[in-house]
Amino acid sequence: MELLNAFIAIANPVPLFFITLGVFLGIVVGAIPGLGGAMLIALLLPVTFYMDSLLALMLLVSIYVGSVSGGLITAIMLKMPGTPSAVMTVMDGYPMTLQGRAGRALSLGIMASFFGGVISWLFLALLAPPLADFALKFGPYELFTLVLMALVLIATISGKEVIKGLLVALFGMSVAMVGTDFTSGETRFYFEIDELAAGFQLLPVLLGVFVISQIIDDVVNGEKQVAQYNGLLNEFLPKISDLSKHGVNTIRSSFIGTWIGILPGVGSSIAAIVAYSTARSISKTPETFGTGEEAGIVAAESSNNASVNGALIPLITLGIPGSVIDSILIGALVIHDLQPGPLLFQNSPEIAYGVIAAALVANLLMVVVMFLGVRPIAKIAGIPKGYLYPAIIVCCVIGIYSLSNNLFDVWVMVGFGILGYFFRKGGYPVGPFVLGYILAPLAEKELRTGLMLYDGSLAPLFTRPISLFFIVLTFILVLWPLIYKWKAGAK
Amino acid sequence: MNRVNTVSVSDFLCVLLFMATGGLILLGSMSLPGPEYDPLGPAGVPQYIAYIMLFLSSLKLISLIRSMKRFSLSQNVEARKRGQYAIAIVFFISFFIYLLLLNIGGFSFSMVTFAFLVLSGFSLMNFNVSKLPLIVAVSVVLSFGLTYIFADILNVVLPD
Repeated sequence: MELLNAFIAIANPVPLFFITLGVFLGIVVGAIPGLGGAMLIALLLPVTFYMDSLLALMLLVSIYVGSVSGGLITAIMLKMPGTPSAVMTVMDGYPMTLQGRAGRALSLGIMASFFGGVISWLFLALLAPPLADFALKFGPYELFTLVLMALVLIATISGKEVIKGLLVALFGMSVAMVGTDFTSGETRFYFEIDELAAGFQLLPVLLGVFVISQIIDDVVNGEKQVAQYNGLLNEFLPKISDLSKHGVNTIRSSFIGTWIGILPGVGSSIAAIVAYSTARSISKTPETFGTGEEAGIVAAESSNNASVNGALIPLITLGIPGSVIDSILIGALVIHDLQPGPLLFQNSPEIAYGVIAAALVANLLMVVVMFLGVRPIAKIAGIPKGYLYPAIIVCCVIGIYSLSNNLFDVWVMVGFGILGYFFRKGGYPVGPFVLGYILAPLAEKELRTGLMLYDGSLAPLFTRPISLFFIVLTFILVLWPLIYKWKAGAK
Repeated sequence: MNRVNTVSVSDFLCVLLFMATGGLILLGSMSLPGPEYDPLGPAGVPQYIAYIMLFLSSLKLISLIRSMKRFSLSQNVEARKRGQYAIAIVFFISFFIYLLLLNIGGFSFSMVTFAFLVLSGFSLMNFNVSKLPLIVAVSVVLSFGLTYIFADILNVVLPD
């Protein structure tokens, strides 16, 4: 019933405008290599501060949906995946373009993205409310082990070296320790700098590591100029026969994408890789993959879009971000004084169901915007960053300054931008840093509450079934890839 | 002249940062009161984080030192890279001057922003004089347009 009300609320010009705007902007930044949804969402956070909470979240979720879809445009037309999640789309998309079938490749990619989004949305709509109800039964140790699982998983999976992921996550947790301790009220680690007494604010940190560091990286290394595509777009309209031809592949890849999206830190690019590999291994003609095989595009695009809604499930129900963009969305909830997690359904059902409904509407609008705007969007992707980056910096400065009328936060943003740049150069993934920074206060609070509740004993971590389940699951998820690698090496 | 390669330098700097952060947390936690409301107290969790961070960063430092490859720094830096560094230097100097001017105050936000947009845009477009008119036009629209949108329409306080 609440979901129906959410759809009714969306069926008005203002929400539809913001969702369309979000989808369009998301597709554009998704199509531009080097930018991406995380950067745009972080950049727009200060702007949404002045917006109605529901509209703001609808806008941000729509950008998320659009950005994952937009990557396929430049991946297919120009062999440049706009986002990492479109990396597998290049494999067969660009060969199809070389064969003069760019229109067909785009059409398949768009429709696969759409069906991937819709199938995973069904999981989101069906699983989220009961899961949130169930999560309300969680005690402090259950929540602590859940947060720990998310942190360990993202730290160990997201980088090439486990130790780097762990170190950067711990650094993020350290940054979160600065400021007032919630239990004792003591001000910690501010080293007599008054501006730090309240801790590092969320937005300067996010804009620093996502936006400023990306700009520094591109300026130092030189931008990769996006070329223009001037070929024809034949066979651009989807065919009914595609449903029977690619239906099974779409459903299977969407399941894979949804499941991988639910896992913290794994992300849409891994979803695309796994779904693509599965499609190739199941195919009767695996040798055609990489030469313009339609099934390759379908697998990659349905799975990466499915991962978006998959990742929204733990975000909305448990307050645990499934990806870097989700961690920024958690920041958006916090900025709007909304409590991420199971209480969101109880305290602000209009927001929880509004986000779920917006995810589906954004998927529908994505198809419309993509079919109508592929060519102009591909042209926008070619705008030199010399015009974009200075403007983005000015927007960041205005956005950060306007939050507290204090330039200290602007310098903090620059500082974290420089840090983020060195993380990138040193091969330290920024995802675990952000998750560590966002989840550390929750982990600390739940651990200390649990210790107070159980007279300082940690034994309930192992005797309570749910927390034990999360501990065992953490070990399995961390060890499984290692065992898989070891087995593959032994073969 | 011997140098480690640039990736290792960044890696090395990050490890030093992690070690310094761990040290700072331990130093800062010394001045915090002991446990009062809960068994860990305000210093407990940060100290555990610091210990793990110091342990892991020490391991990483050792592996970095052991794998550090030395080679002669080439004097023939590619022309393209030299040009890119010049662009980056001008861009970052203009950015820091922009922030410093905002920090000092007393300047019009629109004018300072306009100057920053022109200088940084010009550098990012490879100092291509033929593109300067367009850069100036875009900068005028952006600097005064953004000021108008944020200050006059959204009533956002801007630095001046």
